Amino acid sequence: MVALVSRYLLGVVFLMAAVSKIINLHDFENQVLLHSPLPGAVAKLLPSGDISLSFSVIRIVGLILPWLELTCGLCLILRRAVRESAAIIALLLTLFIAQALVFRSDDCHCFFFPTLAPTFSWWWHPVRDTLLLSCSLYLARKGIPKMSETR
Amino acid sequence: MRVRNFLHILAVSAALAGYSAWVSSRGEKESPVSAQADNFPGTDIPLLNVAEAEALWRKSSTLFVDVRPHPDYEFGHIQGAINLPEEEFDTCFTALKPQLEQAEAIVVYCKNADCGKSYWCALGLRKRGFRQVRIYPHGWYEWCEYKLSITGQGS
Repeated sequence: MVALVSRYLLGVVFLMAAVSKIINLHDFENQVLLHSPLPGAVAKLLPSGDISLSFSVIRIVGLILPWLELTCGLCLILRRAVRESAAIIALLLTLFIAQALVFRSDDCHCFFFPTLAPTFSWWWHPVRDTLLLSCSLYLARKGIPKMSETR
Repeated sequence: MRVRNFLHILAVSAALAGYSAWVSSRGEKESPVSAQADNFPGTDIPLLNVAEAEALWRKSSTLFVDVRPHPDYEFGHIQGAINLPEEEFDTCFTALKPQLEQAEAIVVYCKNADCGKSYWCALGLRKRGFRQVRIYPHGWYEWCEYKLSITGQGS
């Protein structure tokens, strides 16, 4: 039962998150590049400190992220590669939580629901993501119960 | 867990992302003015954010036009930009016209969004038939804030 609820919860949430980004990829890219502290932070991590290079890096990540969320969400709902999808989702959620805790900015919502984000304070996102992370870790560890275990 | 499943998920995501990027790049080629870009009110002149301006700057076919006074331009300007001071627009335009005609995209900027010179110059260029003109409203100050490529005596 727990596995079923977790699987559908994660699958639906990530499908919705992916679709909200895919229908307006240009706005999502703008939000990440212009309204988040990520470009500056990434530039500091790069050896050259080049902000234009950090734009390119973030652009590539932003291009792949929605489709990765879509693929993982579909895999969970369709019961395909459940443990692997849950593991990838757990990794993404860990990154989202770390980002929210490090920057503590109301602008750091862009990785989930760009259109809904301004409604919530910065602390809601790590709380929500922690709940989802616990579901994903459970699924990654347990997977789908075999039929003999449910009887 | 199987490594093969991880690879399948990543491959599918990368393929979808690549297809999405290819489709959007084709869309940009067919309509040079992005349908999603903000435009200068009352016109179809696109307003660029810093990421869009920087992406255009990387293309050799783009020409940046600095409309600030000549001393400001000499002190520092976006690398590769030419100077077309708004106060001397009519006199300087003739000499710069061949360069402007060769550019696939013309990005006009001044010091920041509070300065209206870039808007006036962009309108002037549009009236003279340059449909490839765009405005980078936040201009020089923002370009410097992001530590993008500049040149000049003071840089």
